[in-house]
Amino acid sequence: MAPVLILPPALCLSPYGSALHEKPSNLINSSTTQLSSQQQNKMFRRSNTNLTTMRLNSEENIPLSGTTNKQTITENKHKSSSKTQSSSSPGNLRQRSIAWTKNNIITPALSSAHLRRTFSQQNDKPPNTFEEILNTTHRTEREVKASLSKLRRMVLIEGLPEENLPKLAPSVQHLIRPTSLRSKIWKHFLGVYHVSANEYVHLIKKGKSCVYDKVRNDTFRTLATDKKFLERVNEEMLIRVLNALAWKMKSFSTCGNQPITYVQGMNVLAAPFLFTMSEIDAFFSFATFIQTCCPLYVTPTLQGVHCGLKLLDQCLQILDPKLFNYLKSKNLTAEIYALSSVLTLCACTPPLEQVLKLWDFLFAYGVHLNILCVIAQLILIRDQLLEAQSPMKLLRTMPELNAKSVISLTVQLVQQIPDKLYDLLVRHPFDSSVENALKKKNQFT
Amino acid sequence: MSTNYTYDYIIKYIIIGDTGVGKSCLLLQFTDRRFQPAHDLTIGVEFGARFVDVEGKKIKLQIWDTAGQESFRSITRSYYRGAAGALLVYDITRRETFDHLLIWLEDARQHSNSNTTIMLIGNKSDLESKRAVSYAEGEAFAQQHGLFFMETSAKTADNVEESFVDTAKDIYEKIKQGVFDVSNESNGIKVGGHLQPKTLPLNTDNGNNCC
Repeated sequence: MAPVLILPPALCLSPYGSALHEKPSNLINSSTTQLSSQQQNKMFRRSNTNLTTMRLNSEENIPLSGTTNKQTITENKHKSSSKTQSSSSPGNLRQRSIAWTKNNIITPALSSAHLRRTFSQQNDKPPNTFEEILNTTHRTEREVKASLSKLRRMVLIEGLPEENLPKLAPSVQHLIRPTSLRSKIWKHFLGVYHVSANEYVHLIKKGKSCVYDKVRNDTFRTLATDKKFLERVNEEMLIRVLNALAWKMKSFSTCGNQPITYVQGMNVLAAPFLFTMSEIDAFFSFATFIQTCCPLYVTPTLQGVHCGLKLLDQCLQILDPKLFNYLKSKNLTAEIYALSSVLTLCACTPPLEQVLKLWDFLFAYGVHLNILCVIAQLILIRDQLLEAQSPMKLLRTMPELNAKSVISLTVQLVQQIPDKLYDLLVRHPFDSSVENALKKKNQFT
Repeated sequence: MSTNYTYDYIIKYIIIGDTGVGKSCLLLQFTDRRFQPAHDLTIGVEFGARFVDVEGKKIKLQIWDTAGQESFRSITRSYYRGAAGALLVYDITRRETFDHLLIWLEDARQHSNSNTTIMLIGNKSDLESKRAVSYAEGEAFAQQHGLFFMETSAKTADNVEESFVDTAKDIYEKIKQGVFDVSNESNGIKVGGHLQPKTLPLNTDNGNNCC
């Protein structure tokens, strides 16, 4: 049935978040030769992070008023699991979040001791649900990797289960948030293992950054017609996160030495994080996402986005030459119709709940796949496009997103991209050398 | 009816100016006759079209609405060349958007056709109490640089129709005088063919017209 099933299991074994870096045909000689040395360093760093925490179990809402500095998630978990629902955990937020978990898929009492026994000691009945995997103690890096790849595959094949998180009164929705499975999964895929309330508060206390006015000018125009989003995320949160990020990025510059501050589009990229996670988790996840997944997408010249658009044209030319040529005959290149879909990783295309599902996939296998996801969206309306006198009218706003059909088509498309081109696709969001490689025009066709 | 609507001319417009001055709202008011207070910011370029009547001619305005932030400048620049009309917009309540006009004008002059008609627009005229740029200043700037000038309100629709139509009138005047080479579509003007709507096959190739 679904084309996703043709993926070999080995596809999910890459240590980096993007297992599809390794195309199926390359997996026999599985190596990291396709990745730049910088990327290898990143992999290495990320592995270290995994080893120090040594468990996939994460995420408690650290209250904004938290007293511990650089409090690691692991520490939190130990405290909370030993005391379960009994009181004396630091702050009301914590208590509530435990209570919520109880209403959720598993009870906190089961969360560690029980599952540790079933997986690590007996080892004959491996964990099978998302929550079970997340609540398992991992002793070696190999275990961590195996679980991550299992999670990726589960995201691809079955998707995250619908969650029934408790509904909160609108007045407190912005302040407290039950921890969703999605927020845990995203943090693992992105490699966010530490969040520090103190650091975030410190960044906020710094006040207005140099991009504050720019940010203010855009935040009220962010998913402004999405009622669900506006209910959950208020403008202040968005301003705080984007302004704090500008401070944090002062000490970070991309490989091309272009500084990251704020460009339009980052407001849209931050939105799904704030919708899914608590503000602190959203901030650190968003920062990690920008730094590691797509730093070149948000440079002042949007270098990575422009490369992505060129790659989109080249991929479409290979995947569907008829459609490519038709659009080209109407002067429609990716730069014209796909800029916002590329820059925002499709977050500009409603509905938001489908965007979240698409992002589950992109975080699992790599954000570079978004380029193919955009192509998949074109192919899904291919007939209409080919019949339209004015395809731009159709492409002005992409049709409503259906994550499932986009993802299964994308997985098929991956197989048809030549290796060299695919390598550029993988690297374009973070490797500035891709720009030069692309200047040799149409070398793949 | 409307899908088979033929035209005498297609004229391409571009809307430029700082981010947040109301470019997209002006376009929406002109094409859909409505104001949308809650809307998303423009990323890259958006597009709209509407027919207007000038001296009995059916003119289709194809309008490219561009993002204002610097990061998108390299993209928006490529739209100047194919535009016969440009609406340069500032916000009368935000002084800095007026101060940046020279930069925009230089950009437009450098990248567009020398015959492009430019209309300077001071938008948000309904916010009189917050006004930071006087009418006289706007008018003086326009005079000094040879631009048309109007204050508009995308919210109340005041002068919106006029700003688009007056620009079209000036361009049509130039067409009549032979200023534009209308055989070259890259000048932003396309002359309508004598197409019979009912016999038009579905896949007729309309040349390089992208919209």
